[in-house]
Amino acid sequence: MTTCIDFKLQWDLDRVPAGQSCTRGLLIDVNAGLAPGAEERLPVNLALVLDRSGSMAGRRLGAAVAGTLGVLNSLTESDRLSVVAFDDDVTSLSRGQPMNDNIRQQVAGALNVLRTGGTTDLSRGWYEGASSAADVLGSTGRRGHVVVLSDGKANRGITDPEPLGRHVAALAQRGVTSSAVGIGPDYSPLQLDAIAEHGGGRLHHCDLPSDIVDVILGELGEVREIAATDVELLLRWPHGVTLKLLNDFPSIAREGEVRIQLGGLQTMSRSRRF
Amino acid sequence: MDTNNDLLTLSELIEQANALLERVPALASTSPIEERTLRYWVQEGLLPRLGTRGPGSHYPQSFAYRLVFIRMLQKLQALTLVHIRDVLARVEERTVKRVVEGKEGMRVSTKFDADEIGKHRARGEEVLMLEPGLGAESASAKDYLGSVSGQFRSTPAKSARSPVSASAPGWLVAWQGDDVEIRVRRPVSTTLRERMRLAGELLQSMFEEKKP
Repeated sequence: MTTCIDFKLQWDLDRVPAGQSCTRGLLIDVNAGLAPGAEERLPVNLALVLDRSGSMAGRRLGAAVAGTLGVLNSLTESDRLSVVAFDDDVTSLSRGQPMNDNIRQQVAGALNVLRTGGTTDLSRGWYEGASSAADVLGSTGRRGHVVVLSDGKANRGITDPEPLGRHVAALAQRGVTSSAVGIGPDYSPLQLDAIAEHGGGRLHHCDLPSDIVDVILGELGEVREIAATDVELLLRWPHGVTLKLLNDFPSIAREGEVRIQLGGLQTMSRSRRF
Repeated sequence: MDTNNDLLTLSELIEQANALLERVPALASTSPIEERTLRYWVQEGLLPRLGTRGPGSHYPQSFAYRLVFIRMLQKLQALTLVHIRDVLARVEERTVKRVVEGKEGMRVSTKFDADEIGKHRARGEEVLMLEPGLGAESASAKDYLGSVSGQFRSTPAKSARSPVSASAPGWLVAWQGDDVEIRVRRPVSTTLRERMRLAGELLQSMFEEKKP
């Protein structure tokens, strides 16, 4: 597949006064697209992680299940899907098998009898989903994406957002990104935000089953349309200049240079930093 | 202590490392470093494998600081062994010594912050800034998850709203909602657990009806 990446740089002011310090802003637009004639879509390696803890009782779990069933029906045989359900324990309903009617029926059957259970070990649920996606990545080289569906409120495992975010970021840099869907009007964003922010994805908020289906399918569309992976922007500056980044992308700083890791770029998407 | 041209025997190395460890206030409650810990860290590539093995082995004195530094990265910064290995490959021995002696600070950052680097440099301090990207070159996603699997093992529930501790042996949290938690003594059959779930949902709905 041939990918075109277009960089546009724009200063807020194009002049610098002599003999005095000043601050200047630089906007960098990064656009990615597929070259004409290139294969348009990549097959996906998707892991859905469903919270089935006690606080998800009633419509919340029903909404998460409905969303997952909607995704099941949209996948083709070239796609890989992992499904994990967790409370204080973790159940793997599918471990990255190629999608076909048999797998579809098996997973749908397991989802339909899913019941709410105990406490919320969100970090372990994410870990299991990420492990399945990482296995597929290892065997196929296909970049993975994890979507956690939960009302938050994690009370077991790694509940501190900082170390959790660090693990999620480390995995995003190794080819498995993460997003989160906060379910219910009073979901807790504490850990979900850490997963989305450091996982190179987004935190969505949904109240209705139909919204969840739309959001997951939207994520699926974005994953399918990734045109370039592991994109890195290297900025170097001369002595006497201080650089401040106004974004949250992971970066590695050395003397006089910084490497900003943009991760995956979707086709015709735009990443802006100022 | 006979340093034999700054070389230490294994027991001297462990003794010296633990003496240094005691001087780090934040690690006061940490268990001492043991010989088997040292062997594990060597096996994991955190310390170089020296030519000689067994009782006759000698180690440079700098290893004592390195052992404490590894413990600091583990306990104070919650870094994984993968990250620690990368940090050690990039940090000079004198920096390790200064950090262990408390003469230099250490910070884990989730993003680059030029202002903070500038402030440290203005004070003449060397900045040890670690980003989440460290280690990306040294392990695949699968390897990385394998190296941190221990951190994701289930731990006892944090909430302790009833007199019975969640971690008490023989007790199981059978159901937990926003306002209701049900704990039962093991063994718990699947049937009983399902009944507890139904009871929990019923009780939770009663609580929600009572809410204004």
